[in-house]
Amino acid sequence: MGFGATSDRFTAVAWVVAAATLAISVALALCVLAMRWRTAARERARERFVAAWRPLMFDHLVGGKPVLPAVSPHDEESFLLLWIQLQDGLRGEARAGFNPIAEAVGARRMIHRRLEGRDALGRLLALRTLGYLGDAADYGEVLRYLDDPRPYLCLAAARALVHIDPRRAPDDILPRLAVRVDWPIPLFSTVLAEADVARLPAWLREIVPQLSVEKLVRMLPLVSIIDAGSAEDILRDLLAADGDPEVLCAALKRVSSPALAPLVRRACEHGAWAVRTQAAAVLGRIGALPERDLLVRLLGDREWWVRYRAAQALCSGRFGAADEIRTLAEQLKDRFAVDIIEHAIAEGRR
Amino acid sequence: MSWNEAVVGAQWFFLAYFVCLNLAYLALSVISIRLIRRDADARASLLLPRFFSGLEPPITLIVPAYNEEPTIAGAIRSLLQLEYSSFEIIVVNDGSKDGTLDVLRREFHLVSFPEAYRVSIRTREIHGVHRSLEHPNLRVIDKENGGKSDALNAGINAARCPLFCAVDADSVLQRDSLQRVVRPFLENPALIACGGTIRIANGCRVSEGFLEAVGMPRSMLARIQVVEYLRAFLFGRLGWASMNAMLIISGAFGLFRRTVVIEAGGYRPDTVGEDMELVTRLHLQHRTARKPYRIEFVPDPICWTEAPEAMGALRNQRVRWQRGLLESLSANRRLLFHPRGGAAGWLAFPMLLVFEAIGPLVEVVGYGFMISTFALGWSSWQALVAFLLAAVGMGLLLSASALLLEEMSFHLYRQTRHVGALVAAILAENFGYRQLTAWWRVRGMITWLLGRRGDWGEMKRSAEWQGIPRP
Repeated sequence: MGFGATSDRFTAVAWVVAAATLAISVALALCVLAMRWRTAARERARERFVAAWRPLMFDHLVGGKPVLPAVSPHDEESFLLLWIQLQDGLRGEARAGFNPIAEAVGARRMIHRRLEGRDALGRLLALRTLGYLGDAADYGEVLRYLDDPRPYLCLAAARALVHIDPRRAPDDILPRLAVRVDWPIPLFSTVLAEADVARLPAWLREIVPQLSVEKLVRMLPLVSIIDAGSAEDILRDLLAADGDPEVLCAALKRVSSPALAPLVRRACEHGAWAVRTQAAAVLGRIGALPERDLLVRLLGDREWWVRYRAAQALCSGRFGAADEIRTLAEQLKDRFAVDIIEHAIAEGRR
Repeated sequence: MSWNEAVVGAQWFFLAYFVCLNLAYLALSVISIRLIRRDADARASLLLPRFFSGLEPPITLIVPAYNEEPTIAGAIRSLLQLEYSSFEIIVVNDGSKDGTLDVLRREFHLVSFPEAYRVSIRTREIHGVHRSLEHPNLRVIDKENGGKSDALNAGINAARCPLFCAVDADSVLQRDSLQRVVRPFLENPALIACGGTIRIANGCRVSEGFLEAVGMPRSMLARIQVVEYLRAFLFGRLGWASMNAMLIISGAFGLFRRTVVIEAGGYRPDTVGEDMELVTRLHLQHRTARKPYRIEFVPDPICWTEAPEAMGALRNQRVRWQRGLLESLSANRRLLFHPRGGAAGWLAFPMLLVFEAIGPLVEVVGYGFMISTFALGWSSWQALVAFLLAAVGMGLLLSASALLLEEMSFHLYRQTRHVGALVAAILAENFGYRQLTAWWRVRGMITWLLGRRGDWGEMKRSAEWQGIPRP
């Protein structure tokens, strides 16, 4: 059988594919080697810089007046990283006392170059440095980055703003926090906890009625960083309103005041088992003997989670000794109630 | 059509198939390069101080264990040291025949626990629940053997946290694994599951259950698997996740919203690819019910696992994986071109079906066809050599692009000799290994077609990298 032009065409195409893929593969491998070489050179330079500068910075920290060499453009990133790392470990006056070293080597020039660039790492370093420098004149510049689409840059900007002006920063952060659903509340609440949050309760009270269920559930953890009295007022309003079960659950999770016990007791009778579950858990934190019968009744709830949280609450130590609780459960003549109490008692055993 | 035309037509088909397959993966690779660059920004965020506000969602780590006596204590000890605000560990001993349970009892001072066990998902019989006196957040469920899915379902039943993380007993995690993998859950309330990158632990130095230094495995077989994992995770999953079309989260490490998995019915016990089947089912259920959802992927290397270094173990693994893939796709075939299937149903599913499920068969038949037509004198040696070189070239290209992605992102293999070893592995992979794994995968297809029952897929572990001597 002979091979025609079609077979020749196949062979030619296969050769082209082979040659092209092999050539591109070799090019990629060379690219990897070049990148590797560049990274290794950069790391060596960084190690050299840190070895030379760390003793100088420590000397400055203990009150010495070291002669600071100029920082070359190649070493700027290493300088900022080292300076920030040391700042992270400082507190109070020591932090402010460490700033002249940055000013002396022209950190502001480094910062502005990075803010003008597109590199995210550079911007992050710049924002963190500005935060530690704490100059009120930089507030406006940092504020621009609070509207960046990348949540972690916003977080860095928020933290810098709090360092620069702890009183003013919450006013700029909070309205955005309500809108930006991609901002992780646990991280931002830690940042806000470092700020002066005197305005936060009023802001929360004002904004709570305007928020959708989803947004309200997301924002409610913030009550954990405000004063207990204000938190109690906000939570009382929400629990009394007896609105969406999701909101009730989120509010119950934050309850820590015994003054809210009547509303929590009411929530124990709620039609949604998730609400009853949270209410039972709250009674484990704030409840007292008058709530014991209610919790014992919840041991017979049809939902496992309600029985479990009620049992955990009863075994929290606020409602009597383990044997006493066991006897109460046995009186219910309900095997599930006894089982769950045994479970909760065993959980507490050390 | 003449015989000659049929032969040439078939040659064109095989070449076109290989070109399409590689172009599709190269497209994913290009998407991933863009994402890796974007993610480099996110990695920069690690410069921010680590925050723990206590508001992070608690996590239940579920560790299914079957005959894990040599490694289980070290694995649990490392899990107990994870950096996270609130988590519990549930080890599920799935009827091990060795001393897994005894080791756990001895090492963690277990006592019998009167668990009011709640059955959200039906499982095999539970013999008992134990709790550690030393670590209140550690429980052990001892149950009748029912397979990995059944063990995971038992763990889900006993889980108390809103998120659960399925972890293989032989996995080595980074200390901050949970912090990294939970990040997308904090940023998106619609997130239902998140996977992370798995890397090969062979050759690495592990101390006290944690990775101390990244190294290169000594055996070529394991080195080739390092390259395979780079390809699979760096551009496979990363690319698909960007389209919300990632159909698999590795069983070695994945974080899920507990209620969502319970509503979906838990892991299917009748499949060996339970990890992929669950994720594909979650896509199908959420898309058909028009429920908003997102399944994410964190490219950070957060979990390290042992790769098989013996041929037999590798063969069994690949047969099982192929079977699992086919089971997952066939069980959720409604997702294929479903009107509401989105990228998962219209891109990821067809691509997996055509290139991964059927691919090995086409590859094996393609090689066989080219060699036999040459042997029978129906095609020229030039055509055969050109075809084989094209196949090798395309394989090299994909692996080289994975290496480039690794260098752009994490460059974990820092020593130049490591890069040299990886390049050697990329070359070696194409001469025998690729063809052999394709054949094993065809065997996987056959076991699936025959409908043989799956098992735990037990692998003989050396655990040498954990500093544990061979028994």
